Amino acid sequence: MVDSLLNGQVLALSGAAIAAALGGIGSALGVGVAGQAAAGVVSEDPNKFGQVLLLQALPGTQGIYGLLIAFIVMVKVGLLGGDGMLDLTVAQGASIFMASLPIGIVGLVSAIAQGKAAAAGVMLVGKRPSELAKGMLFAAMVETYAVLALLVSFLMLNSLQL
Amino acid sequence: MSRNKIYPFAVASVRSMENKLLSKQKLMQMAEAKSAEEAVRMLSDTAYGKTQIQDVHQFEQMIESHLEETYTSVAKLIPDEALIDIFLYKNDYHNIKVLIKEEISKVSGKKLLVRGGTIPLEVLVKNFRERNYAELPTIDGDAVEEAIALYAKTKNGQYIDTVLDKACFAAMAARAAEMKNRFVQKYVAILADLTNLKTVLRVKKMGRSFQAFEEAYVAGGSVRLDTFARAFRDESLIPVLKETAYGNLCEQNMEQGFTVFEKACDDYLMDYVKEAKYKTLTPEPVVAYILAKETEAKCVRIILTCKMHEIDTEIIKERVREVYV
Repeated sequence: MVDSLLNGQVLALSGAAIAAALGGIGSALGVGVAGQAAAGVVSEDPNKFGQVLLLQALPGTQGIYGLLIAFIVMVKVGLLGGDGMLDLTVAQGASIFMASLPIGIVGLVSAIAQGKAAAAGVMLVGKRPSELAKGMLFAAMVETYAVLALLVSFLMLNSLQL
Repeated sequence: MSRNKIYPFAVASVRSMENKLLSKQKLMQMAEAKSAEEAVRMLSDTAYGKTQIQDVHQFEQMIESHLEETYTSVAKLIPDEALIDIFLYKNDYHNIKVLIKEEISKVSGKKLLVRGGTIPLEVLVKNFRERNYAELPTIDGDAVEEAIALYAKTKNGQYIDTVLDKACFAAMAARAAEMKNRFVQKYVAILADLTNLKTVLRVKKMGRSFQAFEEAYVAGGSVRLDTFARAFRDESLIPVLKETAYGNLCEQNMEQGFTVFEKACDDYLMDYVKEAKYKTLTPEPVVAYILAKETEAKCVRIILTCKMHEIDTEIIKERVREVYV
């Protein structure tokens, strides 16, 4: 049973699943926290809706990065637009799995952290509406590390020869 | 992630509400108003203006209904933690004191009752008259009985206050301990300490014995009774109290009269609460906001009362407390 599961294809797909799932979970939590804060500000001043919506959307990118890596994996193993899935050795599958980890893990943690920064930015806007740009900048700093992880995952997958 | 519960909605709402707090500048303008009428008119232009009053002497109504509104709107933000209870207990106990004294003196204290406690006024009055303490969860029934019995024995109304103040602080400390929020616990401890410091200074100035202080001492603070006992033995309180956490406060303000010290105590508490400005998700800013509102109400009261009695503008300005924003 275990032997039949531990093959290249399953490992590669687990990688894709981790990238999409962890990135998505992180973004959902991050956007959730920022959204609650945004609702708090709007409850006092409905005119700030547009500004706080921008901030709320920021932690959403990690989910998109995860999705992107998951797509690349699927294309690579021939699940999308190919002639069916390639036969992969365990080593190949494991490599794909490893390549998916950076964006999965970093995506999860950075999206939560970014959500908090975005929530703080929302409160900043609540207090000083003219400081939207600064609030966005603070939250966007967290994005750097998600982008770096995306880059690593992407480069690894790109240079893998199947 | 931290284990503390987070309240982004509540904190963000409170942050937006902070914009509507009266600034020190605005309060100073009120202090500089030419007459009480003008000061009240300035106040009606702010959030306090929701309650319309006919006569300047009714300004207390404006303040009270505004505070009550604040309590209810903040309570709705964090429904599961009853965070603001510790602020409301003192209103409950104030009311119960009024009721006891009313019963003893047979003079109606209706005007002195305040809204905004944890127990609705009507329920409080009804159950107090029937001595049905089970319906009054925040009131310590034993303390009420003790106060009444002590009065019967001594005929000294002060005991009613001291016994119930003690009970009030005990209830606050117990509630704070339940909430497991360090910020709130420390707030209650500081409040108890400041109350004791004010009492000890007053007792010393009046030249009364240490026993008088001991009777009024409230538990829950970090400065213990024996520290006060040591301080009391010396000519001046300061050498011993200097060693406590309130060293600077006592050293700089204790000798300058009671009014100055009282203001310094309020400012000290406000300084502590200002830490909350840098918190974004935990409930500290909500607590801070309530204190900010209470302090604001106190300042407004000071200004208007002084204006009514035509006290010099400079003196009013000196008495205005530090504000949150």
